[in-house]
Amino acid sequence: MSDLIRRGPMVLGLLVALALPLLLDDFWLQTGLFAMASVVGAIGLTLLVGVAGQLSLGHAFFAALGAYTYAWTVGDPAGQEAGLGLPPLVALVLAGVVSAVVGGLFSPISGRLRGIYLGLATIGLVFLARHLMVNLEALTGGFNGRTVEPFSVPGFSFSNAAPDYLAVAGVQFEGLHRLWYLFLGIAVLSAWLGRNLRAGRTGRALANVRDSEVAAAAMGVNVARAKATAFVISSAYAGIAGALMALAYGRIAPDLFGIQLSIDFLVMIVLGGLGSIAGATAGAVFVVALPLVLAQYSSQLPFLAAPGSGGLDAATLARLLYGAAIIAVLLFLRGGLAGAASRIRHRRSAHQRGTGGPPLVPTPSPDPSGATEPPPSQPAVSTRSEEKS
Amino acid sequence: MRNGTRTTLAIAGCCIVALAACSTKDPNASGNGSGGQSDVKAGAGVTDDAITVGMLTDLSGPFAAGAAVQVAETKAYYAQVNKDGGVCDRQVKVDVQDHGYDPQKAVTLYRSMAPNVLALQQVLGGPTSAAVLPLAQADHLYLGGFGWAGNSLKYDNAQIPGTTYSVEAANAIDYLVDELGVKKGDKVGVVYFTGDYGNDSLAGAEYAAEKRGLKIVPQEITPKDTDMSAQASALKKAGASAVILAAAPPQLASLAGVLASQKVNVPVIGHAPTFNPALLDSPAGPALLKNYYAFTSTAPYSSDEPGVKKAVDLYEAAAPKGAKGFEVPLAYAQAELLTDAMKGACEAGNLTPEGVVEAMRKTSDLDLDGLLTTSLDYTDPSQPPTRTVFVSRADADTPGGLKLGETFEGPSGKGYTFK
Repeated sequence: MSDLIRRGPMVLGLLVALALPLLLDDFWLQTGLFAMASVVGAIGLTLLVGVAGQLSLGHAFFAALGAYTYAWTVGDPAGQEAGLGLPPLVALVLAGVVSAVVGGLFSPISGRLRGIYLGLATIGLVFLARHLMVNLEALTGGFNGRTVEPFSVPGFSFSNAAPDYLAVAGVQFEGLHRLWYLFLGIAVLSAWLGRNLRAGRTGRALANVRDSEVAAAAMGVNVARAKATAFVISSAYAGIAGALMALAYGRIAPDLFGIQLSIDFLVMIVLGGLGSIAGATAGAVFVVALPLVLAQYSSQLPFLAAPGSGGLDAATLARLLYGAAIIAVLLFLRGGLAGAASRIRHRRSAHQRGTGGPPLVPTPSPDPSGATEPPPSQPAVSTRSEEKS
Repeated sequence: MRNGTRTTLAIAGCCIVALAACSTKDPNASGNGSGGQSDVKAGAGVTDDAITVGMLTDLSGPFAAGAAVQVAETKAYYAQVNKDGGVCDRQVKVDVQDHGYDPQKAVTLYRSMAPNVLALQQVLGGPTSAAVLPLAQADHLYLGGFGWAGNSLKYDNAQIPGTTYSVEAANAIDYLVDELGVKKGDKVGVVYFTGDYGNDSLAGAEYAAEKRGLKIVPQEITPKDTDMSAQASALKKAGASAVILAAAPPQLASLAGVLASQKVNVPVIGHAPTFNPALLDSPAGPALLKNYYAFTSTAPYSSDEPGVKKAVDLYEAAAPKGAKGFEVPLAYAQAELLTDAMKGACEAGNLTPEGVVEAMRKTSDLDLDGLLTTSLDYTDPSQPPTRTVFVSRADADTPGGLKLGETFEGPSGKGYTFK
């Protein structure tokens, strides 16, 4: 019973997500695809920054690597840019594997650096990626980028063709609808894997290394290997996220994978609460959807100026809201959205106990399964001043 | 255990319901689409009394200033069209959305716009239009106003307003040899933005240089580089006898200024986006007046051809204090091109997105009264509709800062082949 209550919101959310393509129009579907791609990347980054305490600004590099690996692997060998012509499923796996391997190659550096120095080193990767993407024209198509073949499994294509017409409950399912389910499946899978990883032996070792390397070493944790593991896993997540972004765009170009993308990923996990999978998910949806929705509905908002007229327009408002949200979270919400949600849950259960009723739910605070999000402890990269709240 | 069975049953039940709701037969497959009021078949963005066209432009990013001019001119154009009875007896509405030069926004805005518009009047910006072009092609949706990059020629739904940067640059090399006394074996510098704009210009210049026996000294820059001292010094050292600049006004100001201070007195050639009339009041002004040539597909603001006059009068009535630049005749020309295609689709009785693209591709002899150089032929998607360009000189007393010299088509501009 308690299991059902605990999982209730999650199951409900999943059912809603499954039903949404029946209701939404193309704009919301496309926004959802971008959001789900970012969810996968944000989960990867929260494992690295939140759980393992390694600041990385190089997430865009690994996303780019995954995106181009996917495009190259499925690409038509006779096409304008080089390609292998392999099945898309292989390409998707390869996108994760290649990123993981490169993340592993980078781990000798990431293992020696900490905090802001690691952040700076990883920024270098983003500039390296930019240079390679623009200049390796045979592979990447240069500045103009290359098209991405749609995803397919034998007999079914996640595009507008093959089957040319598919309807569920009277709603025609086109490429965007079909991709929605692919993305949802991958996002749920990565959240589940991420949660298990964090709650398991590896996650505890990573958290231990984050809090004190000396203590971790004394406990028998191989510090260098733990750090490398975190980097490899996070890179694999970023690679898959990049491949999903490539599928959502249908065409990739170097401009998509700039430093701004890395910063967006960081904002997502800070807003959501470092180390929390659910928080990273919420943060990713917020950061991706906010500017798109504001741009789309700016004409309906009475207080917004028409774009270009010099007043407060949608793009400016989106940037202001971002900034305000980050400042508000850092000042008032210890542990981000996830921390706030968990505090509300605690307060409610404490309240129920206080009114004399029998405790319906076992005290959730020492929950070992990690299903309810415990308030994530503050990792080394965050500011200590939040502790007082 | 029992719980597990129940879950399995529930999931299986859901799957069966979902499968039962599936269908792969299109109920509309044999139908004739939506029935219009009359004999004209109406598609997306068309009602009995209105047509909606979309503009995806950059009103909050780096090209906000020029984009606002184009939006103002386009809206004024359609207001005029509506006053004269509209297109196909319908009023034309313009749906403007701001992508802020962000491809992600451009793609999502495109998704929301595409089902509700007959055509896209404009998708501004290199990376943004590169992201939207393949989607629009898959939807058979007309797309205009994306610049003049040669790689757009592979899309049959895209209508280029004039010729490409590569043909402009090839013509510029011909002009240097034939009119400005550059001799065989001389060197010509090309300072270009990395990307579809600059690389296209470089390709045209390299082709023509090989034909005319010149040497190209390429200098790659990015839009963030605004100090051209290093490039100017390199060009001086190489002994360049002319420079082609496929960049933006800040680069032109710097390059012309530095070249002048180094006493390098050579022609500087630019495309439409290279020049801004405000530069003539800057310290680089005297150098530009002496040496700047613009090779453009659309007529400069000051041209006294009837088409340009109409465009300018309309703009000055709509935005009396607006910036004067190449965007005004360009926006008018683009709106004329789309209106012509929509009228063609109407006459063919197929006012759908596909119908507009078809009508545009049947245009073989369209004359825009001097907005573009020659009459235009869009029947072959792999070729630009014309290869003739306008040659203008910088002039301080002319509105818009450029004075029209002549139209020009050289042998290399004519012979340039697209990859």
